[in-house]
Amino acid sequence: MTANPPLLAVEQLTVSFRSGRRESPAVEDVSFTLDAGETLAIVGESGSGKSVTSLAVMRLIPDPPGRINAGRILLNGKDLLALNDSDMQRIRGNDIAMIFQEPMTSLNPVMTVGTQIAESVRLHQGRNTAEARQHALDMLRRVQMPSPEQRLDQYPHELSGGMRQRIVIAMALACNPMLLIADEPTTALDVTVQAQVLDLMRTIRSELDAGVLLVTHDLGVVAEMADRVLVFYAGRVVESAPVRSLMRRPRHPYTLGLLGAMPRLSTRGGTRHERLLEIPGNVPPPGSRGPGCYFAPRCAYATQECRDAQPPLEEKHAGHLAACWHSDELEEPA
Amino acid sequence: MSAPIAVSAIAPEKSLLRDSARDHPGLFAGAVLLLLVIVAALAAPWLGTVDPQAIAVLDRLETPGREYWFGADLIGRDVYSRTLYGARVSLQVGLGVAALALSIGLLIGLISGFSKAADTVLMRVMDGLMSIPSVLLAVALIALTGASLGNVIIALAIAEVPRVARLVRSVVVSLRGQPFVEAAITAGTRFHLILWRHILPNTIAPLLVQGTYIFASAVLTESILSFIGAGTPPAIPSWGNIIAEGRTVFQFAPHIVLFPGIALSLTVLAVNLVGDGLRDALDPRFVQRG
Amino acid sequence: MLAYALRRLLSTIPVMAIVALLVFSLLYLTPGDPAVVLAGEQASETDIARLRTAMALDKPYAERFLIWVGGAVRGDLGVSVFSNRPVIELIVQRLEPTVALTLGSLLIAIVLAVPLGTLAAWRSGGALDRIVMGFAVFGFSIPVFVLGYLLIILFSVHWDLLPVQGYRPIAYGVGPFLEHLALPALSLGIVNAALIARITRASMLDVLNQDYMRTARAKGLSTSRILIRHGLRNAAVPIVTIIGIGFAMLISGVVVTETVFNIPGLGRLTVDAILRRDYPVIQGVILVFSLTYVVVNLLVDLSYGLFDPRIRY
Repeated sequence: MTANPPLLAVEQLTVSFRSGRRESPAVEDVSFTLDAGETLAIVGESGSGKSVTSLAVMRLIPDPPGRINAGRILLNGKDLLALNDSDMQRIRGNDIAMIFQEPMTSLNPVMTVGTQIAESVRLHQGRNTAEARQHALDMLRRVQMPSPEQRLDQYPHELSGGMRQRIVIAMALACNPMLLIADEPTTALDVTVQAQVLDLMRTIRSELDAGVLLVTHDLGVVAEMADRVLVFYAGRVVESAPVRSLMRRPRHPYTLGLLGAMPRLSTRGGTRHERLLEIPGNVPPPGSRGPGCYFAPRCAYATQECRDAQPPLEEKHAGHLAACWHSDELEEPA
Repeated sequence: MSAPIAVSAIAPEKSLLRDSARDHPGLFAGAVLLLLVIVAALAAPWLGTVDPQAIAVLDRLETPGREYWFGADLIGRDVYSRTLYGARVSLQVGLGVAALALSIGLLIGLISGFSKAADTVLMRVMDGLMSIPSVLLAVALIALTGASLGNVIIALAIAEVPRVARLVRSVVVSLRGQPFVEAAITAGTRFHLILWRHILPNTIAPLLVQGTYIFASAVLTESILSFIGAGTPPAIPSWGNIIAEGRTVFQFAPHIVLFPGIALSLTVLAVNLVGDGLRDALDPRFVQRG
Repeated sequence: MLAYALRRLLSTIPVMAIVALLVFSLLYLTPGDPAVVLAGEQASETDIARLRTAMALDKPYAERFLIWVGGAVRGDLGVSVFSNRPVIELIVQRLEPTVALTLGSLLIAIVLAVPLGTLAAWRSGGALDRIVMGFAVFGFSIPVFVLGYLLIILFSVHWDLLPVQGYRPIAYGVGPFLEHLALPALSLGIVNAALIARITRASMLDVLNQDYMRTARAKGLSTSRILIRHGLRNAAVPIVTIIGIGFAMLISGVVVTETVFNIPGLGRLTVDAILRRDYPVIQGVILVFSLTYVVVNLLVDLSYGLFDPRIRY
């Protein structure tokens, strides 16, 4: 333990969404930390709460219907949930930046890309129009955009998907954030472009020394990019480990299933579908969850104990945590 | 969304009304309000009214009070009775215009949707008609044909026809490309069967919604026409006429304008609420308001 | 762009021609001899005969239409039966109050409706949304003349703040001009605002759910900047469209509002012409109003490209 607080510490975060009169949890009791220069991947199926967690860090949960019920989100020891709106606005896009999933829809169609990149620089760094434009140009060069001078005055619809994702990345990096959240940054792209974008992100990460929170369902991307991994299931962290340790010996049956579901030949499949078909059954909806482990109904190792009591997230090995009563019984992946 | 269904499953016999009030409050409020107007119009003779044309010169411009609930007008006629009877005129106009505009529009829309040759000509004419502001078109028609309730209804209906025709045409055109209609055509199904089975049922929901909007706009426009002196003959106590007669004295006898004005606004509001509610409940595409 | 504008302009010609034909034909839809209809009930045989030759009613239908259109294109809309003066002269005389009222009420409508509709969408489902939407339904249901009288009773009779009726040309000073314009423009503006607010809300709701709005928030932009710079411009196309369509309603409203407030504009001219059965004037005014409507919607069409760069001509 050093005296310095970690870059990001999320403590016992609980987020719920209301539909009708019922409030159902999307994220339950999630805790983790992230240091500067580190890449932490959050893995899980859609609806597992991984995106909600990343949005909660930005305080971008749509409210209503969503609500952060409990927990703390500490950025360098400062609780973001305690900030007022204008203080939070100063942090968004400046200290914390986000790369969104859909480059096709996350850019404003009626503004030139130059304006969109320059916007946050002008806002957070108080630069004038000409300086901000120059900075936008520098950013385009940094994300290796071909013929950047022309791109500045183009609109998103005039660019290809890969180019748009570079713009999205340039926008996120414009203010040199200390924390970068990337929500499925490559999912919407086709395979060759995915590789380029991942290369770019790796380069940038080494230049920036920022902490990266990488949200994905793609274990291929995780293996290439992450230092540590959090596995989400039904809104809870079921496993937390260094990436090598997790890949070598998963300590939760769900992770085991995920690894089994990972396609072997193509490293990063081109489809946008979640490839979890090998795990039988579905994530139980919030209303029908029992007192025990949420994964128990789909789990080959489940016993009565699993159905009766929620297993705690415990250290099973050096730095390797899992929430499973039967971690020791798991076989290694074939 | 699932909660109300569960509730009505438990107590279906008494919660239908309550459910509709909760799920479509606008539709419910509009329907209740409209029902009140209809009852007031039909039961006018038994609701404490006197002859709406009875003149009592001595009581002219009497303010609202115990004898004249809504006051008396310039020549001492009872504004309350005139307002209640006026509802009959407005409802007649609304219903008449909606029925006429829907039937003519349906016919033109069907022809135009099925015949390419007729389509070009008819839609150009409809575009032209739509470019003439409806009040002006109606006013001109009435000025030339003479003021009568029938002519007002015809004139207003003509102004509304283009929108209905375009609506029906768009339904037909979109259905014509649907696999089940194409299959029916290839299978040699007779034209009138295709029309009855596939086309007309799909026009009902949008036409119902459009019809309520036409109703509302007709009631409004009739009052405008009467108000500017080019609508329903002055002898008939329509709301527009009552207001027009009170126009000159409204500064010191505002009740003559006010009460029929409120009745008029509430009626149009009721029909608009019903229209919005039906649109949300039936969710037909194509319907355009305005 | 210029080529597209020209093409669009050309495409309005058939519509205008049909409008002209409809307006011209109205007279002949009436039962009986148009000359008799025009001359009125008290006219003598000689009056009718004179009118018949003066308006070329003795010529064949198509020829009469061509004569009329030919004149209209050159700005000759015939002569008023009532005052014996050229229709175009009467129209030009009455133009200022109508233009002032139309633009004034349009301005009020937009200034009122766009922010309210935007806020309603931003806080959709909340109290503000319900108030704004309630206002919109009421605004849509209350006839202009009822609203006009209500405003007069409140502002002029009760509080004595503004003149009751009438019009002062702008040449007489901006103060009196605005004083007289305020209430009529407000009553007409509110009705139109109801329509625009509804569409603004619907369009903004759609835009607010888009991913790029979340991106804008993630940049740390303020709410006002997000709504105005990122939201409104994306929501603009349906809004300007409804402003164009609502222009027809505005024209009908002008006729009524001018009657309520005793404004000597084109609307009054129309009503007077109708009451006097001054057919050349009726034809002329309807033609001018309809052409304005067509031109306004042409401009609306051309404005799409300003708001959305994806629309190319």
